[in-house]
Amino acid sequence: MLTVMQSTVQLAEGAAGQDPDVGLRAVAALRTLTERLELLQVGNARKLGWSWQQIADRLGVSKQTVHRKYGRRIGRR
Amino acid sequence: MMFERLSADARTVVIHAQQHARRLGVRYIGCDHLLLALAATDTPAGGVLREQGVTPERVEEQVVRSSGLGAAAALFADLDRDALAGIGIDLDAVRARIEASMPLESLARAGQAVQCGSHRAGAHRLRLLRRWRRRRRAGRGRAEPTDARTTPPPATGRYRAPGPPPDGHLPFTPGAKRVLEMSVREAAVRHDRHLGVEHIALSLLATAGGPVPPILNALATSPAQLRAAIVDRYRSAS
Repeated sequence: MLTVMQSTVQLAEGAAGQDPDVGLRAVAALRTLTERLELLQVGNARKLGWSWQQIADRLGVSKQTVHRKYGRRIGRR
Repeated sequence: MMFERLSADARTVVIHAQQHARRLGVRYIGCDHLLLALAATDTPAGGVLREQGVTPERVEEQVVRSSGLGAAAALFADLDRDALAGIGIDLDAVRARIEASMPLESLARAGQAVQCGSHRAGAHRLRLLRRWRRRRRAGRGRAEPTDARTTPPPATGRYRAPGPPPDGHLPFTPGAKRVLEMSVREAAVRHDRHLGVEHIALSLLATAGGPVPPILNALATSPAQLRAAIVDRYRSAS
């Protein structure tokens, strides 16, 4: 039990990172990755004929937001 | 515009960069492809690069290693893989899953949007320019048949992305476009009337960001060092 806790603590320390440099870079990379995946998924959903409203519901934002962000980049189906 | 002023060798560099991009399966022409094409040219600038260990083979190795092959390359190319591994995200695993589950076309489109999203208008201008050139060349072709220099031998390399190569027009990345634009300035400050391979090389090596500096570092050299060597070579030649 103790060892499990210890390893969890170690993992958490490594992951959260005491070193801000590592931690911040990880956050930035993660954000970029999220944005890329969002672009990919939205594009694919549009190609499959999904409406902006349907996409917005899944992403938890308004349809105007999705459309403003991707309408031009993705274009029409 | 610009392409008209390029020397024959410089045109070959641009054409080869596009062929490299196609062969590696990406829908954009980046600074890395320009470097790959430059390293292979039979010019003093190309010679300097190869003498310093920047050979086409080694550049290609680095390009493929850093951005991979195929449609999704641009989506994952420049992400900080070590930082992500630090919080338990294996970028290669993510990539493998995405590539396996997403249609190729969606991957390619998203990859292109990542690289060139805000530069649609530029791409359109370039397309018009190419069409205009084609017509011009077609008109000229009748007057002077077969000019061997206008069709350089295709660029070659070790790697080839699986699947059909991307077709149609490939846009330059914003970075690569800037390199070509700045090459005009490199020619101007040297009072050269032509726009040659050396100017593209100098412009590329003056670019701080983008994929080129890491590639050169991996090949145990640096942009500044290569720039100085190229300037030297051309100064002693003239």
